[in-house]
Amino acid sequence: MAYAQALQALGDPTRRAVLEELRDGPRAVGELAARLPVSRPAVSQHLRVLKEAGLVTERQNGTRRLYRVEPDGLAELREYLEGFWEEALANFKAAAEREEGRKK
Amino acid sequence: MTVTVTEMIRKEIFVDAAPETAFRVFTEQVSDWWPLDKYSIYLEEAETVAFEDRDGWRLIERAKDGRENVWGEVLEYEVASRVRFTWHPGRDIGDEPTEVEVTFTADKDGTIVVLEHSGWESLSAKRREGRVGYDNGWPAVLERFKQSAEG
Repeated sequence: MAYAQALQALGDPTRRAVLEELRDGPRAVGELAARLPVSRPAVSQHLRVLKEAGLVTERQNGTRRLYRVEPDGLAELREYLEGFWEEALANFKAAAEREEGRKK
Repeated sequence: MTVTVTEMIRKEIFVDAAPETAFRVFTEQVSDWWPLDKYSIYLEEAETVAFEDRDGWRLIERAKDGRENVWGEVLEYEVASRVRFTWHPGRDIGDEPTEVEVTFTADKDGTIVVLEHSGWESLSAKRREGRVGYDNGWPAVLERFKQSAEG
């Protein structure tokens, strides 16, 4: 389920932008809102979705709540996509070779 | 630590068939090899997926009841050599598509097929406000995939 959720979470450009900002290092909601053309509540909402998708984690740092990228979440999504193309291409190879056989 | 989705995915496979054949099967006989029952928008209701020429070539999935979903648009192609198309199953065309490029290169008696799925890095959406909605396409597909993979 994790990668399904991750892929869905990443279907939104603003969330990808949030994630991209976090790749530069941990940030607080306010910092993200200042860097992106979205309101603070909107950023919070996007962070919640990213967190549920396993792509982002949060941590209390003194009085600040910092968000950071969760590398395992991204790795899992990537693994899924790799597997997806591998399966499709293996099928394709078989189909192309069958077709070639018919020709010969 | 940064294994990211933003890196290009690259797959290479040797096909024991001429580049012309490989290209033709890839572009004209998609339904013969695409695992439609697992990877599609309509799943068991899916009937075909094919590149069709409609205002330019598009990769279109069709359900038994006639519903359609455009997965991508061909950006360029060169017969027996390569094809490049946008990739956005279950989503709108304008919704930050990623891109797939497939090249066919003769090698010995067969063809090296290289598939590159890129555009994850196009987080150039960075400064843009995006639409919030997301069709229910891939997530459902992925869930099915997971179920069958874990069977």
